[in-house]
Amino acid sequence: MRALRWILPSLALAGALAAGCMLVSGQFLVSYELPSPIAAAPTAVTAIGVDLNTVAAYRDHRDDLQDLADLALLGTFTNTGTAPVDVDLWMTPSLTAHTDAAAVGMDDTALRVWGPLRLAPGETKRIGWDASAALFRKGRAALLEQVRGDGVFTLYALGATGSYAFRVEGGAFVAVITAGK
Amino acid sequence: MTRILPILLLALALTAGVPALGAGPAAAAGVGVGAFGGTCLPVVQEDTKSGILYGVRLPVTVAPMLRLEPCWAGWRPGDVEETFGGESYTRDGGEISTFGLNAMLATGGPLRLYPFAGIGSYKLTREAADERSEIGYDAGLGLGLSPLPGLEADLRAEFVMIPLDETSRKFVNVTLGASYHFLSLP
Repeated sequence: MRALRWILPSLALAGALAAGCMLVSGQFLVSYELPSPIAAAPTAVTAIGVDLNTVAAYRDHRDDLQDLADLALLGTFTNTGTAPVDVDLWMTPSLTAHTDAAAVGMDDTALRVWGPLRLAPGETKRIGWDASAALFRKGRAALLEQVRGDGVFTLYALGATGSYAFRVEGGAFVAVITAGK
Repeated sequence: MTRILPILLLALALTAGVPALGAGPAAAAGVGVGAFGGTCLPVVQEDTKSGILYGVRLPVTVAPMLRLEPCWAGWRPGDVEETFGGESYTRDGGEISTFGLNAMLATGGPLRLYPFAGIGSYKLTREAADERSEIGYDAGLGLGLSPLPGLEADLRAEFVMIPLDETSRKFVNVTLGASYHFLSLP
């Protein structure tokens, strides 16, 4: 009788183990701090080279990486110009060194992955984790490809209009990866 | 994952056969209603902290020593707070609601230790994330106490796994509950 009391959970656990990978999996936080401050204007953009291999959590789980559970770009954004600006984040899937917004726009590999974050003239906005995650929805697939690939890519913070100036301070790219053997 | 269900069904079949072994007092057939609450502890989830859960259950003793228990539960895993670039940020821990069915040994007596396992439909929501509905599985142990006829209090610990494609979200839940068995058949 006593042994039978253990049959149900034991068999359930055995079933789960037989199913393979799912028990040996988890969600891991990967954060990459961006240079600070980053100033952006149409004729002067900053190429932000990202190498996730420098992050221990990514290195530890890169071979078992399955998906991205969450993405966010965090930091404090300030519109230093005189017109409203919609800030977008663009990505090229390899390391590039464009120095102006036009060059990024002409790069066939460049994709808009985050945004827009609207800032009024002179406005400073510290974007929260939840709000930022919502702005990543369209770029998730493109970033997943990079995260599952070599983990090296370039980000550009650009304005959506022809004339703008803004600054990003304390920026960080944050991803929650799911990994399972 | 398709291998789990047959094993759970096998476990149910084995449990149903327990009375034939003639060990221990068998509980009468009956129906009850109960409520429970407790804590959910995420396992290997860096984007979720421990939180609370609560729910209701409908214990139905369908055969001597076999109890089936449909249940509903609402979970509120805790928010995550992390510091990036010198600033503190908070990410919503999300919510989970589940309809499930547990099967367990329903031995009699004032104090009993019983295993249980079950299956459920889990709806996972989180701020700025797509809603997901998945089938999940649980298994655990309960400690039941019956201070009065028809009244039962129990402490349960269970492991829950919600498969998500090739990975999963896993929790250990610890709950305290009470149920009243209002219909008892010989």
